[in-house]
Amino acid sequence: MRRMAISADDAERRQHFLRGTADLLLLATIARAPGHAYELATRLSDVGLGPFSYGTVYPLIARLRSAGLLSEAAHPSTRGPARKVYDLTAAGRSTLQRWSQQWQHLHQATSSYLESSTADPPGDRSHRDSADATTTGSPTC
Amino acid sequence: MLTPPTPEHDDQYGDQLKPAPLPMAVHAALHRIEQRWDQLRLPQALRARLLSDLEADLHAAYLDGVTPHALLGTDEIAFADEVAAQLGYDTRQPPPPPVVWPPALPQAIQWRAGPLDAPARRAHDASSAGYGRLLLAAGLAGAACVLLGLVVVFPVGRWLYDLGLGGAGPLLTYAAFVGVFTTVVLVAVHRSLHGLGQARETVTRAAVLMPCSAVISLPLAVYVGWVSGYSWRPAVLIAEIGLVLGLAALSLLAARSWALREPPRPVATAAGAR
Repeated sequence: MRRMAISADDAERRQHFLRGTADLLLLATIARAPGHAYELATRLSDVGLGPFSYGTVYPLIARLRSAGLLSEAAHPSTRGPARKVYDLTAAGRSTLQRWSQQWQHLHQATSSYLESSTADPPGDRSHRDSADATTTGSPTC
Repeated sequence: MLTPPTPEHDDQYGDQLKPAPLPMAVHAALHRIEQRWDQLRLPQALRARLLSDLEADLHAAYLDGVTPHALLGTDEIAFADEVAAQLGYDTRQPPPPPVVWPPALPQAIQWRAGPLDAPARRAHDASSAGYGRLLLAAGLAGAACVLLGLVVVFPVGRWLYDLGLGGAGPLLTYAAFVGVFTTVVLVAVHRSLHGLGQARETVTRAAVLMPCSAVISLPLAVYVGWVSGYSWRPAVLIAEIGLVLGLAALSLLAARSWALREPPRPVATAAGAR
């Protein structure tokens, strides 16, 4: 039970992270190859970062298209109605580049901070904390 | 909403791969989504575009063995809200009851009287259904026809009578008047519902229900007249006219309600144009 609870928590945390980068990942997926909404959701799920449902992807497509980052073309199908295939516009490509750079910067800064926070042994950290307390004049017990 | 397979579709797709008929669950899901977007005031052109996307995707997914619920989730309203929210629309309005009028009237009243409800929202809900606009347009068109009929019907009937048609003259005149009256009212109803959706469906159902209401109301009005000795007292006239117009109005409201409960007709997509 304990392991299941942790696993569910991890999954929720992962979803939380992905939620903020879903539009970036979607742009990157379309940059690799244009596709229709259902196909894009499948391809995003196959990346292995987590499940991306159609219910998540389609609203993002609607927003990105409304923002002018995606273009659409109707591709006739032999099996049913014509489907919209989405591709990046010029603005979409530059946005993908900009967001990717932002992500890289954020990722590097976050990684550096996390590494510095976890690199210090507990003993050193307590020593540093007490030294900080002494220099700031805080009362010690 | 979704276009069921037709012989034209079969020709288009060839003999090997023919689209299977889509389940009613798909139609119902898209209808609920469309109603929700309508309630959230998404423009009709945008709704039509989004719905055509959904139709194509649901169709393709269905052919791959994926049900609408597996694709959209079990809560279509949540999906509709997520799309609307991503497009910048306020999704804080509570979803409408599944049936607007008349079977779910208590539920609709409860929904409209909810603590989160606001007068503007109530006004929007009524306007999105279009009952008020429909009745106003029908009333004005009907009144104009009646005024015109008072001036035209009797002289024309008399003229036809004098031409030698006898009793058939006035009868033909009244029949023509009823046809013109019904047509004008239906055209007015159709125009009044412009932009609200399901206008054509409302008119086709009204074209059936209005004559049915006349079949009931006219004998009743005649009976009232007979019982009162064909009196010209205002109360009797109001009762006779009220019976006819009241049942006609009810038939229009019923036609609108009936149309709103049906899945919307297919939007103009490339698939639908084939």
